Amino acid sequence: MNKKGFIFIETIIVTAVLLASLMLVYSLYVSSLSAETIRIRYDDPVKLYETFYVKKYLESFNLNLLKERIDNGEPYQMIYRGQSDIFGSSYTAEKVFFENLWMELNIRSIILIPYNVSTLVECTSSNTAAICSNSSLLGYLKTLDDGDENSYRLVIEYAMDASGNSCTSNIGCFYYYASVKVGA
Amino acid sequence: MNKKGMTLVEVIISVGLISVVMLFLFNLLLDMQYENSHASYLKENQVNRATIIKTVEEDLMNNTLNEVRIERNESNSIIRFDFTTFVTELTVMADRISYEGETWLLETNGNDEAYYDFENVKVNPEREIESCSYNLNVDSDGDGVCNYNCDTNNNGILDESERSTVNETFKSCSSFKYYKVIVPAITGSEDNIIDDLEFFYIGRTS
Repeated sequence: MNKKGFIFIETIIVTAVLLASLMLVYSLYVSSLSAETIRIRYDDPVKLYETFYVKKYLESFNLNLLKERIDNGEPYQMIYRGQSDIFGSSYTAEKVFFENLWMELNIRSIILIPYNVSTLVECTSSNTAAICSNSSLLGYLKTLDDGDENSYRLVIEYAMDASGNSCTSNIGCFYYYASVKVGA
Repeated sequence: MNKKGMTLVEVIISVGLISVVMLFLFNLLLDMQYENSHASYLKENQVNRATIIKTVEEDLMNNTLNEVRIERNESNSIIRFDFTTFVTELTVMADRISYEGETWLLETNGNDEAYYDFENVKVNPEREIESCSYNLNVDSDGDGVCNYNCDTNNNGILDESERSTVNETFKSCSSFKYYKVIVPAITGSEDNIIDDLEFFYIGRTS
């Protein structure tokens, strides 16, 4: 019987199959680990309370204005740093405080959305670009369950580096997300 | 010629290939063992962190906070929350935190370094600051001409060239204030702040 090269080829084939399956297992493990490092920053207790207080602060002013716009068909409302309409005549007094708050908490964006997010996260409408183009924000919104259709959510995106300072670029930047319910 | 068996070269190459696979497997096993050994005490720390934050924030949400003061000692820092009708204290030591009769230990497996950095506990802002902005284009004598805080460029702010018209009397201040207390926790994780304790409060100014 000619046994030339039989063991070698067998070993090569077995090794190749083993390596391929191990690569698959390892890549699944690594992607699961990296998904978890993103998810751990969703609804962190610190950020939840900060979001609660920001909601309480904004509710002292005219948040109803933004709720009405959503009720009238707008998919969401962004709240900007220099936003004046919700503050009304208090804007002159509050703009510095709001700016300080924004910087202290390393806020990247604040949005008011309907409580039910399933339609929003489908991204079928062209006027959801600001949310749908932000993949990490969209990833967070997809984890939210639908519920009370008559209320809203205030979602805040926080961005900071490993030292807790605001990010100067996307590299080394950690994104935290938290949301609280806003009543009708 | 009898060709049964295998050559030395084939054996060496086979062993080499299997070693590569085994190395890979061993690395994976070490990673998983590390995760497993750290999972239980890391989880305990996360639960404790959430509990401490909830306990303190319950007091903050249900009462009016006047002031936050920090007393620094050799072996601990004491954070005093001055509410309207009472005072509470959060004591931070390297391996534990105490608040209102409860104590939470910072768990570690003995090999990893983990501690509360009590020397660097801080509160922002460090002193009460006024959040005020100037009322622009103040016409104090009613003649239609700006007397104070004149925004001649119409850009919504007072530039350097417009500073001569500034009058501190004419400004509006927010009726809110905030406090953010940070207790750093050093755990060696990539994101230094994820284990930190932070307590936040927004309330009305007095």
